[in-house]
Amino acid sequence: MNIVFEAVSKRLGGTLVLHDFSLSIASGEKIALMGLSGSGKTTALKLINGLLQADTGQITLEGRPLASYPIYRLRHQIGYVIQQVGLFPHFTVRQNIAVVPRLAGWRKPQIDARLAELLGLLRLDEALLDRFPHQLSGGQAQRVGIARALAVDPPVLLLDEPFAALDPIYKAEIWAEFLELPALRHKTILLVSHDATESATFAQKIAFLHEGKLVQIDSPLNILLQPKHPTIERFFNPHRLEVAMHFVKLANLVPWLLPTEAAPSTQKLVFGGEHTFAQAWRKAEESRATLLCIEHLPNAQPFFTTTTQLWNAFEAYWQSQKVAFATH
Amino acid sequence: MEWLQFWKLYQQEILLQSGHHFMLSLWALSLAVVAGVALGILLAKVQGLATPVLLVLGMIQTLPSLALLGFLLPFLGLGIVPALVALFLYALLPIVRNTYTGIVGIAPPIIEAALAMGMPPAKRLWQVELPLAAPVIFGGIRTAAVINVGVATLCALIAAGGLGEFIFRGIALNNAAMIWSGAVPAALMALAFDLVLGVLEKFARTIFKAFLLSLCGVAIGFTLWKLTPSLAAKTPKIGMDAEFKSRADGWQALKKHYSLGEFQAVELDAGLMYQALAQDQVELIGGYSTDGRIAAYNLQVLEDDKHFFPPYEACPLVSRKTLAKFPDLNSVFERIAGKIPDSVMQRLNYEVDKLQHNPREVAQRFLAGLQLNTQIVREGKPDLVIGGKKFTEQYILAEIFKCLIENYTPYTVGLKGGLGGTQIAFEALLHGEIDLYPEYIGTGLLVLLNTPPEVYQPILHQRQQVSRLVADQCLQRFDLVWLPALGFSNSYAVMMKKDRAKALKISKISDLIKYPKN
Repeated sequence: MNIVFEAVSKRLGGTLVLHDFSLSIASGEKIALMGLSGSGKTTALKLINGLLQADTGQITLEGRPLASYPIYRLRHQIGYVIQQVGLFPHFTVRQNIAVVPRLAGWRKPQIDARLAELLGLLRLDEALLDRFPHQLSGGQAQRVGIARALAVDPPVLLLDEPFAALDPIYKAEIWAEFLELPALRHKTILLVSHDATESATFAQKIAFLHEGKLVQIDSPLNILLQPKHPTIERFFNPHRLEVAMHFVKLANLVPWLLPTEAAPSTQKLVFGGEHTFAQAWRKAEESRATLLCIEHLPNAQPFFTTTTQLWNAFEAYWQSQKVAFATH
Repeated sequence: MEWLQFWKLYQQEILLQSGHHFMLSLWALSLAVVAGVALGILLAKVQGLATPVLLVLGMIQTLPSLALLGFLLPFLGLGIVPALVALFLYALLPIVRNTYTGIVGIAPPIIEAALAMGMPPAKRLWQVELPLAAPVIFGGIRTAAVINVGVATLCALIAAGGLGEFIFRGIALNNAAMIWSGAVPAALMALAFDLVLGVLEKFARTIFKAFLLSLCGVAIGFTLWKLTPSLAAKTPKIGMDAEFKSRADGWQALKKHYSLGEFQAVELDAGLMYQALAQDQVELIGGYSTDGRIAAYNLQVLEDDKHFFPPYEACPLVSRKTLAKFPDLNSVFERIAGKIPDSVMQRLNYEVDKLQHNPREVAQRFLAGLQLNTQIVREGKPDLVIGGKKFTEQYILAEIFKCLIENYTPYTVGLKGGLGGTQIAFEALLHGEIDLYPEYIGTGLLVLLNTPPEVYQPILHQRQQVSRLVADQCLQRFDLVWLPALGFSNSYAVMMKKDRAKALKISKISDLIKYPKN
């Protein structure tokens, strides 16, 4: 299902939260909406499932204006996951997941079959089905929230900082699992996130919003390397290494960090060129830095064909810092 | 032990009135829950409605209960209907407010999730909002239930029955056992309501729907059952206050004395019954013969032709010590002895009650009409204090006494009006907090002296003998002196509307034997 914003403006409580916002999302595309707090990301999501209505401009789904759809039925087709989860506290897990199937008029055997399927998909224990939300851990609750959103296998998924409330380690884990869900492959997905790594690893494109305006939409790497707005630069700066590491991972390279004895911190690491490990290590010691080593695996591919290409890209952007690099 | 005996004696009536009280409270509560929850939902859904509506309900809540009952009287008459309406109105605020806050207070992500999943409004309300607000709503219902059981006691004052009958009769007769036998069951009932609803509150989310639906059933059931007009012939109603209904020389004895047929005795607040008669809510009342409203509402006092009521002549009651200290008092009160006949006292009451004149001006005007001096009004430290009970007539009499004493003696008089009943005024006099107050011979006989029936029965209707007995006894036992009677007698009196009395050709109480059944 493709989604198109055409010059949408929206005012909330006197402030213009979206201003002349246009964005086209192809069917099956994954897009991350990023930006500072109050930049209009969440508003854009809520306009899609009709929790908010546009003041001017229009939104079309499959070429038809949103307003022409019966809103309650349409919402069954749009899964929605929010940070606070919003499970119904008086419903069991089973009842919570079954809400949309019931509304859509499914019969009990069909619902039960789907429940079993979702449990397997999200690695939820069957024993959880009869618990109430307050008896779940944060991670379990969020998985149930996702199961609920996926219950009728909707073609569109809206994710509003789905894992922001979880602790970082657990978050990384559940995020990795989430990314692997085969059910997501063909869905059109919009992710609202503050997390550069999360967005970069998930989305094909990042749409960056600033003060209600779309300032750049591009691939994650281009956003990272060629920011077109100072806010984007500021936004990604603290995360550059992190994001870079992810690209390295995606490229099936194995990174590891070797702090030299005198290295004060890992932030100020690395310096560059293509060297043997011994050369690189000496250099790292001289400048009291940490050495970032990347091991090239045989089946490496997607983003960069060679590690040199990768590091050239980094160096081009990352001039203030030196990049150390070694291959075995 | 005294109470236990009393309870045993009145067991049947206590149970009956408890049942009635329970029904009244539950009925009004169920109506209020149905309407209150609906209104609360409306307030939560329609923006800007909550503040004004809650304000209005809050104002109703602050109205004194008796004022609300009086206000409803002209529209709804007497009995169960106005009582229900009053209880309903009192129960409404906590239920509406809690429903509103319960729904509005649900965490926004939950509502957002419900919306985003495409839950239509009705389902959202029944499946999400009401169950989640249920514990809060239950809290409101609990509060309302306890309020209802309490306010329902007041409904005895408008002929709706209930445990209040014992309480008000007990207060009127200064009978603690009787008060307790109304108050204790009422308190237990309130506790029971609170307890049961408290237990239900724990399961509020699951049982909420069933609870609401069954209350709906209760509301409809009671309404159909109780308000279907009965086909039986109605007996004529006579309104009276708690005291007249239950006193030894009250309604039961009067009925027997005159061999009257069937009348339905309806308990009413003394202040409300004149109005109730004027508006045909009752056909007769047992009132007080000098009340100003007799003239105001054009009522006819039926002649006590078989001399049932004892004399209730009003006299200044004073302690002998005071009289010794201020010997001129005797001569002063001679000036108005016998000068205030019934009709005059009625008029004076009327001027204050109905025309809203100041009691002091009314007193001065009256004395001036007798060619007495009224110019002197003293302020400052009083030489003697005049008391009075808490009704119009006593306020006026106290002003008359003050004006008279200050104009014909050098003393300064202080006033201490509004004493809340015979017992209180009497105690104040005995303890020297007041020096004098207007009292009635009959009250002296029955209340102050607590004369046993075997002593007063034979002479009850012989004025001279009663007066002498009361005067002698009071002097002997309490060192009190009854000064010369003022002329009027504020006795109980049976009255009806003048035009109706004329149409039925009734002028004496004995004529009531031929009172037609409707």
